[in-house]
Amino acid sequence: MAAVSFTVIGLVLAALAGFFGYQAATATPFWLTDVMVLPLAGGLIIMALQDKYARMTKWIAAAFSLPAMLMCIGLALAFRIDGAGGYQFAEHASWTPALGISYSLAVDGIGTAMFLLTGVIIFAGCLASWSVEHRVREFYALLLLLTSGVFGVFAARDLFLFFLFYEVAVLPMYLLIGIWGTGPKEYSAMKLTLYLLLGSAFMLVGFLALYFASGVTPLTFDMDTMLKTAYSPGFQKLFFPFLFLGFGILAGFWPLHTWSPDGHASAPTAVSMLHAGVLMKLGAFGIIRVAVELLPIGAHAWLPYFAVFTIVNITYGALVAMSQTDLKYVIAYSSVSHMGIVVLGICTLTDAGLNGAVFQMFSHGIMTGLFFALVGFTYGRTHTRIIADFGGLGKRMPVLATFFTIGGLASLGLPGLSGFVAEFMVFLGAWRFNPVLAVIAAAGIVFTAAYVLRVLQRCFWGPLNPHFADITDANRVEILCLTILAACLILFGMYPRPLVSLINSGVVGVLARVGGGG
Amino acid sequence: MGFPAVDLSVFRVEAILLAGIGAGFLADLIRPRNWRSPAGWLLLAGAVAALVAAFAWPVPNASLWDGVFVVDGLARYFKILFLSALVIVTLASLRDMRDQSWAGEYYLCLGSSTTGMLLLSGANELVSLFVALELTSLSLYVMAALRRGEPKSQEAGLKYLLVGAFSTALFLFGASFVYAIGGSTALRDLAVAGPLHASEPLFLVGLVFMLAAVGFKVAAVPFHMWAPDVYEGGPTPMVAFASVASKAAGFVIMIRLLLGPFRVLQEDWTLLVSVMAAGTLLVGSFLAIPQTNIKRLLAYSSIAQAGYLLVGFVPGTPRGVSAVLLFLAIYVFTNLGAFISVIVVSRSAGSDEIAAFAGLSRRSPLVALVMMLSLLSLAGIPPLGGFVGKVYLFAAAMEFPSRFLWLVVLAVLLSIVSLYYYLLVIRRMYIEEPTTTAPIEPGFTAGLALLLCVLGILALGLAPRYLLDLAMGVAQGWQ
Repeated sequence: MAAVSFTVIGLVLAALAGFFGYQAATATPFWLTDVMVLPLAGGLIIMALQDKYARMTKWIAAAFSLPAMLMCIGLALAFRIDGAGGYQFAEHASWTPALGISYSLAVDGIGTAMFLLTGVIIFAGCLASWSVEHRVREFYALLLLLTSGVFGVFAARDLFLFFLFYEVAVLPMYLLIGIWGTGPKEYSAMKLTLYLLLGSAFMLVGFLALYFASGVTPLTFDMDTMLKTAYSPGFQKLFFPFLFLGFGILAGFWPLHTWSPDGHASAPTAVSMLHAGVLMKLGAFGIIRVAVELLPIGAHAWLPYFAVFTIVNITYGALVAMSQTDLKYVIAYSSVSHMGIVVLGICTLTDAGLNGAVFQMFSHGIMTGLFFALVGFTYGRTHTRIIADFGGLGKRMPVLATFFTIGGLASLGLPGLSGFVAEFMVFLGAWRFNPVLAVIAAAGIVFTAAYVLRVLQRCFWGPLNPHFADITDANRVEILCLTILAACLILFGMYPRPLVSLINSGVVGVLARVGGGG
Repeated sequence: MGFPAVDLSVFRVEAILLAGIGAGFLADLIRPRNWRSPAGWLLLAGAVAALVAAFAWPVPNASLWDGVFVVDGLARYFKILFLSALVIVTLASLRDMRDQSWAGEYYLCLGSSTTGMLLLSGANELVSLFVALELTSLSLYVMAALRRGEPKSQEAGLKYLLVGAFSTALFLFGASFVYAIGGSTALRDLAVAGPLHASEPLFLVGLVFMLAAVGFKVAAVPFHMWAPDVYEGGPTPMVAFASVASKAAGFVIMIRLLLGPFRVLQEDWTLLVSVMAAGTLLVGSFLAIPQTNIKRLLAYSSIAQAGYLLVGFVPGTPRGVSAVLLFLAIYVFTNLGAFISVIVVSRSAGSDEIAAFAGLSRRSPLVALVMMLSLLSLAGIPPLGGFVGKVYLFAAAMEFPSRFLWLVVLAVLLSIVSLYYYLLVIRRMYIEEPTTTAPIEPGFTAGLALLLCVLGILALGLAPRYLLDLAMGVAQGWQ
């Protein structure tokens, strides 16, 4: 077996070296593929690792996810906002020409922001899983495989490819939650997987309809070609709900959100971070990229109705979060509420609303990553997540308490943290769209403040529960993980302009296609 | 009167396989009693040689005896498909059959069934079609009952025989009507005569009977009842073979008949086939859920897969035919991957219960991985072969959303249901703890078969273009 193991690892490394060497030699960098390939290669190496080297796993995972994160930052810096904006870093290769399927990748401002988010979350997620001991190789291999799928979705410019990556991003969740989860993990894993693949089933029907209705010869799954196609109004109105609801399930759209609290609460820490932080954004991203952009007439016809549902998302999510006794469920329901803000922003089809929605995708991704990491670290020490059991933990773990406070304040939209920028823009867009909805949605924020402050007060402040008299504070790996995430919240809260202009360069393109604005 | 001289070299693929079967049969008869039967290895050699010949020395287009047998793209495609299935199944059988007293009979029947299928893929006339079909089926009936002393196997053989005989009668009955109306048994002549008799009710009766007979072969609802019992009782390698090859054989007949003589009745059979597809999908997807026996589960799963195939077949377009061809090829690797994993596991566990898979990922990571990939491919998860196949089948039907949108929506929704029961098996293998930690070794030949299946699943998922181009060429050239 040793020979097989070394052969596989050697082959992966050689392929990687050859791939990067080729790009260096021909001076044609495939940035997006590179970012996508890194986690996959790391995952393959980890899978091929022999059992006796299992403790190297997390270092290998970090060694592959750190460069992925750095490359994502590099992408965001290298993205040219001035001038056209539009799609950059394009790659194109023929794949199955007979069906019009090509391997074509490119990102605009929105995609770049999502790459940045994913890069940060996956590296932080690897750090947050440092204490995983049980079947550690399979854990990291699946985690990294999933990350490659996520990168692929954010970059795909071909609907077939998009769908392929989407499923690769979703399916490993079943095992990740089922094996390493807590509580009713098998139930949650099954529920999450079936719900999300139900969504993808609707998407598939929509994709095939788009494919045939485009009327170009030869038929193609290429999204740029579809963007130039004017689908008939009747067609758009018929198929928009397929796409919107298909993606909406993943975005936690009420009333199809019920997989999310169960799934996120049962999942292991890094998986909750990745799922609530990044995967739910795949849903919102798909709504913008596919449903709204390709079917603008359908969007104008349906979105005003869907906007009403998002109000339920925001207020109901917050209210239910308020009544939870399990800390992780509070965070999980807060995701439902915050994702409602994202979808509301999209539904307004205004400049401010869309910008705010994408900014909220980024901000909430980081914030919820921070929260789930904190809950995981706390649970690792206290072995309980019941809020009533906590009390005064801040006295024993001031670092964790501080980070929790930062996350909480970002969550309730305190100015100076990134959540404020995002929510402000969304509500601005919503006001122009429909003042009544805007007022109700903004009122939902009050509930958010209530549950965040309640949790903070119950868990971290107040008299110390003597049961936890000798628990320890965060270790260095955990502090590194939390610092990266909190730094993003503060940086883009204090100085949102670079991110806003990055996102806006993409939103401009969407609005030019969809019409609307204001 | 005599037949015109015929260049018999067009039967070279069949001849090579027959040489392997014959050698195995003779060697089995004359071997010393304490030797193991060499029939398996000889059959394998014949099958590999025939497969190589089919690739390297393809038979040019030909039509024998006024179109009784033809060699066309469709025939060549299916011959390769049947031979691939035979090679993989034989490889997987070698270890399992080593100590069975009936190994000789098993390989003989396996070979003769494949020979029937090879003839079937070129049969273009009702009588030759019928004879080839019977050769295929009778061998399978015998194989199902080979586990002497096992009541379940006897039951399987008997049930298979009775249901098969019934479907044979239906086929003959239908064929007699068609012959009476069309005045010929050659499909080529019938295709010409068909439009003249499109309004004859008896022509339609012939269609319905023959469609029902084919429905038995592919285990489509409402002609599916035999499948779970036969799958449960029959020797697993035989079940593996029947599940892919017999299904493919059914679709050859379907393509030749429905898109040939019955093309004029397309309006009628579209309705019949789409209702059959919907029923097949519903039954296959939902009845699999409560199963506790892995072979019964795979039986219902293969019923559901027949439903997906019917969805692609329904429009009757070249796109639909090529989708069916592509999916059947992918299905060979996918379903055999699952069945061979079952062979390996039940050999060491001595049980076909799904519970025997508990903790398989600890006992044999490779077998568990193959089983998981096969099941996910069956569920249509990318980047595996089954995904490409399924999407293309749905695409064929979505070309006409106004007519078949309901069917595609039903099919994608039910594929979520089927994912549920596949995940239940994956849960056993990966999430549950094993009851014993004794490792499971597939052995060399079965391991090789598993490897071939995985390579097929991955290659057809990642690079489907070559097979796709081939299937499209066949479908277009045949029309």
